[in-house]
Amino acid sequence: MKKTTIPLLILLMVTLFGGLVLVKQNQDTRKGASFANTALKLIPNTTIERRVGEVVPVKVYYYTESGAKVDGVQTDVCWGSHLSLDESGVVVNTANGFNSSPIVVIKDNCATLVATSQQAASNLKTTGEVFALNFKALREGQGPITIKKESSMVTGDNPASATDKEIAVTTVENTTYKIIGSTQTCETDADCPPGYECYQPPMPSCAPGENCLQVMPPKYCRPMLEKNCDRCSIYFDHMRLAWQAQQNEDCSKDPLIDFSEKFLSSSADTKVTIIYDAKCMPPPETRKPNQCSRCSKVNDQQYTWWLRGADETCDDDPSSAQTIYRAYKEDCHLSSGQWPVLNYKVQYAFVKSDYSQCFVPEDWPLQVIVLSGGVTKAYNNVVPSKVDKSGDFVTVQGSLILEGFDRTNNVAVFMKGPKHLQMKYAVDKQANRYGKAGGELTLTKSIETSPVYDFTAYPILSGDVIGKNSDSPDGVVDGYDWAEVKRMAKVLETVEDGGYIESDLDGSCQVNSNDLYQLRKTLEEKQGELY
Amino acid sequence: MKNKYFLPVVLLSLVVIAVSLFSITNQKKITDIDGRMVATQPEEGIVSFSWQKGEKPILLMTASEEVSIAALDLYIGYKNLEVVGVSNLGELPEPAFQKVSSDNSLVVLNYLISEDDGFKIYPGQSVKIAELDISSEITTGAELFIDEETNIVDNNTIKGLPYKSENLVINSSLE
Repeated sequence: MKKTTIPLLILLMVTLFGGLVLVKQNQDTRKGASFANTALKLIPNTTIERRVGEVVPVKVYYYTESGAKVDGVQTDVCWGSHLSLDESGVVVNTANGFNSSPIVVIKDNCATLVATSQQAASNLKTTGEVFALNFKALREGQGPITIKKESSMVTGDNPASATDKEIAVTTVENTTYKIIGSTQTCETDADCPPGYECYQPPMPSCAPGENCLQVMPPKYCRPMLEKNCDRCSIYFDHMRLAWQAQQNEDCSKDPLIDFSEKFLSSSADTKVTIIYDAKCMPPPETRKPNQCSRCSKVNDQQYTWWLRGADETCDDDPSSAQTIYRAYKEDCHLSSGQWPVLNYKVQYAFVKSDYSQCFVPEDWPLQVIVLSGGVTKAYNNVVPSKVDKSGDFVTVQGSLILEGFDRTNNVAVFMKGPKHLQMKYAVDKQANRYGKAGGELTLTKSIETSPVYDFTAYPILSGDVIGKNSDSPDGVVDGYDWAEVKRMAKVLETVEDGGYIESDLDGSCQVNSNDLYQLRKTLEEKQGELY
Repeated sequence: MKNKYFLPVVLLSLVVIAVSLFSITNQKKITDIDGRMVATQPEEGIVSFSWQKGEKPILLMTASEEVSIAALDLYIGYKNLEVVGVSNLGELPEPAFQKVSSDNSLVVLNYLISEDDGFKIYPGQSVKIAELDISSEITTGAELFIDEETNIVDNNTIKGLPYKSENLVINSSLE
């Protein structure tokens, strides 16, 4: 008996000791762990454009999950040399329960900001603004304003513990700014300093029924855009880039490197023209090894470049999400004969001929899906080849070789643009929704003999600029799209002619009440069709 | 006999108690792979939908904290009854779209707020969203509810505000 009891006792004591050690270890691990997650965001999250001397307003927001109410925020915010910030420019939001005197330490274009609260949980918020930062625009240029995630800390009211108050900062969202020339007003170029020109901004447009003042904005001095840069790409074979640069800009900079890729799709003020040039070959050290290029399969007389994914070959067609660079090439012809041809005319809703300086077909490519007898085929990045501005509204026209699609009868066509809803076209001169399955279009295998289908009476509706759970369009127009366009319209987000803004629905180069009116009409029409 | 089992039983009991305490502690908190604690309770909505009963039920919206709404895509579902009309009671602006869709058993209202600051609701404030005109012919199990397609878009963040809602079960006569 004694022989079995003693080992049993030892075993039990070891087990007890081990259990206690495990319990202790686990508690130590969790001590100080976060009881909720939060995101710190800089609002607005799109590029803030101001002129030299103006205030660049940015707000720091927290967005906390699990209903955790925030009572303290510490974060480091950094910016470029084009901006300055002093303590008086930092305002804490007392409406969300924070003390009115934050700790602010500014050094080397970074600020450490601390806001705390002694208020009861009922006065605290899960989501809201903590700081308003009023930067001053010092000089021209662009750059990011960033939050340092690793040094940010958020605390909150934890009903389960008086000591574990930490909320993990799981996400940060930064923003960018662009500072342009001074606000010096002028009448002629002679009133401006050397290198500047006197610029007349366009008249803001106004939606029907809106009581907005039609007052021409004052002229101001802006840097002259008269220097032509023209050089071979250092990334792509046979690609030449040409653009107008500011006087003090260095043409040796390649817009593909020194700016974001979006620069090429004309989100910036300066439009880059891409030219096919057989003599251009990039240096080996910068040449993109994963580049693909060929004549377009969907657009006549067009040459295309793109970067393939790791698991793709150049035989794979680029997806609609990939950036495609295009250039005119005379001898690139679509090979008709084997496949049916869709000749089409269509309109993007509300794009007026007189106010569409920012309607550039390359920036508004179509996705076309054809359907017949249960067979479908999708074609991305379809750029209409002709633009007709002779009527009130812009009409675009093109011919699409339906490679891989062998049906010519009872065809239905679905079309959508980058910020548009998908529209179904099934008969010529269709003027409203086609409520039946399938379609009635007939095609031939020749560009010349295939009928030109006119869908202009039922324009492609726009307004899908963001999604419910992402910043990408989600196929519906709803309150999220309204809120996004309204945010941009509030600051009259504007680009130069030829530029692109996602929320500029009518291609007028500015997001304003017209775009809100248009979105409202789209929602009204689409909801009427669905319900 | 007593001497033989007393000590092991005591020690075994201690181990059981320790392990039980440990597991009870863990049961209260669900941890993710990083050891962080995540929600233990269903997320509470900042905005609540409730019903004011009457001959014509009125949908109310309240907020637990100050919110600023840019848009409200409201889808009210119904079953075992017929909705014959819907009215905006003037506290929100006129909806951009409003329809009783009998094919889908849905009442659809899209409110788009034009004001820069959005439509503010303060804690404790109750806003009348819509009044429903329902047919007097009601069968068992008649119910009104907020469909999950509903979006409340925050004016500042352009994200959806979490909401909770209660269903309105309607008996043969409304109170």
